[in-house]
Amino acid sequence: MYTKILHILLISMFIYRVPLFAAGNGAERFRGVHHEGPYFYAANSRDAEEERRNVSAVSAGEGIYNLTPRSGEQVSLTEALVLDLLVPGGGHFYIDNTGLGVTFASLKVIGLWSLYYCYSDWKYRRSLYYSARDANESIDPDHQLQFEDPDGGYKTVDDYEKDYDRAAQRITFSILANVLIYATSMIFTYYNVMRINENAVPTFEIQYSCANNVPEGEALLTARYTYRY
Amino acid sequence: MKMNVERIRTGMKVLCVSLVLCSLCMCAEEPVGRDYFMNPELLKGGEKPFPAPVIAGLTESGDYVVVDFTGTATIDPDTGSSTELVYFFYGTTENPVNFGDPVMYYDEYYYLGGIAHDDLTEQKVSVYVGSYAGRAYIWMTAYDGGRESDHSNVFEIDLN
Repeated sequence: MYTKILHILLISMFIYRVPLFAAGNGAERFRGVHHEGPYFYAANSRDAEEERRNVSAVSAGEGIYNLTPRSGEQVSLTEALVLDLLVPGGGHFYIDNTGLGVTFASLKVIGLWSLYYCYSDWKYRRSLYYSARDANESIDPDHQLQFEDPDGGYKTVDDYEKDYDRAAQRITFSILANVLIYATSMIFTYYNVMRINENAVPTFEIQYSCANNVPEGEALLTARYTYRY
Repeated sequence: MKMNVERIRTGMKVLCVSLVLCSLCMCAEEPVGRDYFMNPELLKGGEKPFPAPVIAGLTESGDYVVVDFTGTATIDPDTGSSTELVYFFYGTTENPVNFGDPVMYYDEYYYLGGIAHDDLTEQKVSVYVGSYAGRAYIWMTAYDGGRESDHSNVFEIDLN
C-alpha cells in the first residue's frame, strides 16, 4: 500500500517535474531548499545577502528542473590555514566565524605577548646572574656574597642562578602553550573549512521512508528531496 | 571575500594596538650591565670585617670546648667598631686543609654556633661538641650582618 502511494508520488513528480514535497536540508548554516521560495546558497550570511539581491527568486511553480546544480562558494583550505598561522584568528575570520576568531585572536595575542615577556625577563635574569657571579668572583671568591635584588631584598649568586633557571622554564612553558593554541586553532579551522566545503558540493537527492510502527488503519509516508545549487 | 579581508585588516589593527598596550603595561626590565653588582652600595654588608679573628687556644671542658680568642681585634670597616659583630664557630673532625674549595670553611655544615660581640664578657666562648672523642679542628669568623670575615687560624684539639 505504502509502496504504491510512494510510487505515485515519485512518478507524478518526475512526470510533471514539479516538486510535491520539499524540506530544508537541516543545515543551520545553509538553508534547505524550499519549494515555496528562493533558496540562496552561500558560504556565509553576507554572501547570501548579496545573492538575494542579484539572483531572481525561484518559485515552486517554475520547478527546480530549470536550475542548474552548482556548488556554493568553496573555501580554500590552504588559504584558511596559512591565514590562521600568520594572523591571529585570521583563519576563523576568513570563514566568517567571528566568535572563534575573536577567541583565538585573543589567546594568540596573549600567548605571543607572554612569550615576548618571558624572553625579555629571561634576558634580564641572565644579566643579573652573570653580573652577580662576576662580582662575587671579583670581590671575594671565598664567600657567598649577597647582592641587592632590584625587586627587593638580597640574593646570593645561587639565588640569582635559580631565578635564571626559572625564567628559562617559563619560556619553555610559554612556547608549549603557544604551540597548543596554534595547533588547536588550526584544527578548528581545518574542520570548519572541511564542513563548509562538504556542504558546498552540488547535490540533488530524493529520499523517502515508510513508517512501520503506526496504528493500524493509518499510513505514514515521508518523502523529501535535497537540492543544493 | 572582500569583507573577510577587511576583517583580517581590522584584526591586525586590533592586534597591533593590543601589543602596544601590553608593552606599555607589562614591560620586562632591561638587562643590566656585566659590572652592575660591582657597585659597593649593592653589596650587603659593605666591606667585610677585618682583620680575621685569631684563636689563642682551645680547652676541653666536658662536652664543651672553650675557645679563647683573646687578642682578636676584628672590626667592621663600615662602622669602625666591633660592637655589631657576631662571631661564628666552626668545627670538623677532618683536617680542613683537605677542603678542596675555600668556601667550605664557611659552610653551615660545619657551623657549631655563634655569639654577638655585645654578649661577650670576655673573649672566651664555650662551644658544644658533644661526646665526640678524637681529634677536632675548630676555627671561627666574624660577621657584620652582611659579610663574613676570613676565617681564623684552624686550631686542633684531641678530645677525650
